Amino acid sequence: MSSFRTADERFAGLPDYPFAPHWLDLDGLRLHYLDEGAGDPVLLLHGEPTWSFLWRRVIPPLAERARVIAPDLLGFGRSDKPTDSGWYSYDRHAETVERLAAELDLRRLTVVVHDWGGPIGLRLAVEHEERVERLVILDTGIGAGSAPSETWLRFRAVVRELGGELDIGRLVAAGTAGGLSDAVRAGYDAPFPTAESKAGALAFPELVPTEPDHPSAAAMLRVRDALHGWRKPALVVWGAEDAVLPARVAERFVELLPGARGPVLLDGASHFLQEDRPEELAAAILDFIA
Amino acid sequence: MRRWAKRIGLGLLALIAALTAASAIYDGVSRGGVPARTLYSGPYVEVDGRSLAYRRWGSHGSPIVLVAGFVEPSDVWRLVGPLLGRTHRVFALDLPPFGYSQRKGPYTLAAWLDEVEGFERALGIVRPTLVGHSLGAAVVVGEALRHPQAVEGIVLLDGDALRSGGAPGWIGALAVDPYFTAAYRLLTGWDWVFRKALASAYGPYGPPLTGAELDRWERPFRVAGTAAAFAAMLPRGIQGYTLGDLRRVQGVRVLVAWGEHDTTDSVQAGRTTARALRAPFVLLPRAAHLSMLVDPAGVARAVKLIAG
Repeated sequence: MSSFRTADERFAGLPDYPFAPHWLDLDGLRLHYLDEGAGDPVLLLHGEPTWSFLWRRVIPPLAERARVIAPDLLGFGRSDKPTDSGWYSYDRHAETVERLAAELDLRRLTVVVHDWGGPIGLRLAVEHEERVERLVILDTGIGAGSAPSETWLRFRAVVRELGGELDIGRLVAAGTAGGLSDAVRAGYDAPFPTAESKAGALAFPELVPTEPDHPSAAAMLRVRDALHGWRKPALVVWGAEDAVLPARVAERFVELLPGARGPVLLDGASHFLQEDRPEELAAAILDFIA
Repeated sequence: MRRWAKRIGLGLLALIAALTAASAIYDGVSRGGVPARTLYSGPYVEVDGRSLAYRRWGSHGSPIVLVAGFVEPSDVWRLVGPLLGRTHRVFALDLPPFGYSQRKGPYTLAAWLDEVEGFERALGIVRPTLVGHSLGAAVVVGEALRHPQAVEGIVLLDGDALRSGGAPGWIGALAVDPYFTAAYRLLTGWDWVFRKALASAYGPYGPPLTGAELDRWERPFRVAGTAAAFAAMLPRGIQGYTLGDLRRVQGVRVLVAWGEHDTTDSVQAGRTTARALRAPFVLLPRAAHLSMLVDPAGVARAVKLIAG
């Protein structure tokens, strides 16, 4: 299995990203994560096609009251990136996060999930309930058998067509209400200097179980069913203008989890609400864990 | 030579010799050793361009930083860490070139102080209680001398924080001469020397020296660059301060704790250091030099006298 490691220089001087890198070795693959602040831990899980950079403006306010851990999934950010798209699976991503939680022995966790971080982090919660106290669910989805939305299908078509030419920074910018500065777009592009480095980002849309017999389907349905029994606190926060995963998905989450509060819809925020409304998002999370 | 050996103890001398030889042999068979991460999965944090291996326990309470001694990985705190972690945020780091931190010099006391401070910045640790074992005792004294306002208190564990001068030349030769190391290994056998050194460092109430136990100590010597690092470091001897320096420590709470059966650094040396620091002295009855592994509850109690 060959993997790509993005050169450290590409991460020098990124805006609002002064954090010290932390590393774990997972069977020869290097996992990068941020570990800031002190207190009960908060785990921030990014999704497609982002990395811990996504949380850069949410981390400092959270870290004043909590220990904030934000990994880059394998294939993303400063973590190693297997170059074969076939390497990536729902199981492998879930196992990565499970091992991170075990290696750091995280307990009393608040798990904050966004986009693909949802199926991954919610699986950690239902499979390791002893580690998890609370859930914060942001612009994500869980289920099987159909595509999340027409916009999502168009997104997948674009990814398939462009392949290694995919413009990651532009894709993230398209998922914001307010757009991104060139410097921030460069931050999203930083992990992916070559076509082969993008294998993980290209694989994610293919891991969404749009058909009932998709390889991810059974596991994802298991997680969704288990969430019916989630009685610990949960908070649903959503970008009101998210076109990929519209606000009705947020309402379904509130119906699904017996302990859920919300949805808190953030005005002027699209799919990447961390970019559009970072202060409000951090305030909502702090209020919830207080 | 004799004075040097007496100061640091024959047990430690044997350990240095064995481990230096070990590192050179490992370098030889694996063409420069293997990356640390193949031996220890982490966590690592990057501080000033150097990857530092560390461990942490606990999520609440005032911070405690544990600094291990010569050739000790932070794994030596595995029993004390969880005990202190119930009421404190506890961190233990591997000082290069020990444990699994990146082998990147210089290996001087000043560099170790910089590393501890960089580690604290990276982990957001403010005003910690610093606990230094053996050589680590000099590091925590150094922090108290450098930035007393940034330190809550210091605990010296089985370490007098005094310098012992340069190592005799033959130790340096041992580190760099492959013929000698090969011969050394043939003559002594590898595990035998470790076993002998550890038996002395653990004292009468230590754990059985099983293969797994020996591996804990031998493993860090396989990290790439270890032999070269030891060759660079050993001529400096055991680094530390003078009794006069110790008398200048003020404005921080200080405690000295010592294993009663310690033959590496004598109880008498501990009492002398405690007097210079005007600090209380705690004797740990069953422990020898590796007191944190023999009497972790006693060590945790001693640390809490300072950390609260």
